[in-house]
Amino acid sequence: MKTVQNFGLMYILMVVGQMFICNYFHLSMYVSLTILPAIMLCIPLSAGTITAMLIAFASGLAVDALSDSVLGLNALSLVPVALCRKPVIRLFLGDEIIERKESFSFRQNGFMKIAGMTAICLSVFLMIYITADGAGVRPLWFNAARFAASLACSWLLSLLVVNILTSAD
Amino acid sequence: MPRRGNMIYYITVAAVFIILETAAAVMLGYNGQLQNTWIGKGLHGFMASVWGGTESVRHYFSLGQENRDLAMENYRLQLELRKHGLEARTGDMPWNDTAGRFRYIPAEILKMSNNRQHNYLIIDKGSEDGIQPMSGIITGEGTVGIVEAVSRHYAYAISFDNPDMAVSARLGRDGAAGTLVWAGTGSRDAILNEIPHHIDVEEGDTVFTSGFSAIFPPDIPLGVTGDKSLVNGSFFRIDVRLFEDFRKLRFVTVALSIDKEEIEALENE
Repeated sequence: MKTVQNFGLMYILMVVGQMFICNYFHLSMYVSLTILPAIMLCIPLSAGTITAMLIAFASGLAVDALSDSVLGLNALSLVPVALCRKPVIRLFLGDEIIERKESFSFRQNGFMKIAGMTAICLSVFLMIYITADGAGVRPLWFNAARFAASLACSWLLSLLVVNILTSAD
Repeated sequence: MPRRGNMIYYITVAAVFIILETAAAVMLGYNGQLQNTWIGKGLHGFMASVWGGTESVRHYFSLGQENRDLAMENYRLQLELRKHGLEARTGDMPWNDTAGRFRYIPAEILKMSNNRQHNYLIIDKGSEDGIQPMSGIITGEGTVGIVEAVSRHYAYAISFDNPDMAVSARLGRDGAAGTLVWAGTGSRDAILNEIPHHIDVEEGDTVFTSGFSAIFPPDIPLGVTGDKSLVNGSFFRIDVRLFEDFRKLRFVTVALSIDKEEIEALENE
């Protein structure tokens, strides 16, 4: 199993990866690629909600500062993901994993559950991100289309990220 | 974990969440022109609803004072009206609480019974305010009662909804006069007695105070006539529907006859 130090290093690499995605991977105006909710979901369960929220805020701010997005946008969207991280895990994997502070993986818990958790966290992030980015000036159909396209693309990328972060040594 | 510890933990989580989200929103507002306008619009909407809510609450709690102010204004306007009615005959007069043969004092009903055969009321004015026994209690739409006993700060009065009380009333402002008494049934039902049978009475005629007694001033509208019946072949007994709903009363005016003692002395002679 990965140690917390290893995870920390992987986490930083993933955040740097998100900065690259923001700066160089502009697929379409309808697609916003993000892996931040997925790496947020993979933070070890020994970290409490407050710690996760602080990490989310710092990560979001770092990505905002070093990419071309508006400062505060990723931080605003990622903190709610950190808040609902444990309830989402509890919903899909039960109380036991949280009480024992165990890690989860595709092999232990099955593809569907992990994919479902990832989709929900992504949805929370994207809803806030797209709404705040549009700032009330874009029509609802545009936001909805952007949400659907972004969710589909980011979900595939996020599954890969979750697999990397949660796979056993 | 104990329940109290849980509660503190949840409050801390909520506080940290709100602080971080607010910080992010502030940064977003400072760095994006569109977002700045959007957040500002949302904040203005929120503040407007909060201010509107607090203003509604404040307004609700000040309704009592507003009611008193309105009752006082109503009292002043009624007094002005009475004075203007007299001005044509007596000329200009300086403002005071006296009009014609009566002095008027505003009062608030503190207690009032409605469901008995002998109903009464207590008002918040007493001898220190100038109230005297046998003063009339009126509103713009009727006679409410007669003061029976007075203490320093309060006065006890028998209500019009009482078989012991009779008001001298007339049909129209210058029609035949009779005695108006409570019918003993509904609080707005009364009977006008002693109207001579040769008087032409139509259903819907307005009944006013006659001003013949030293208790109530003249020309206060009391109610409208309804069915009539002949008593002993000489007088009409007319049903009257009163204007004033005694159950909703709160603010009244006490009418004190200035010449009452002089008139009583004359009567005694």
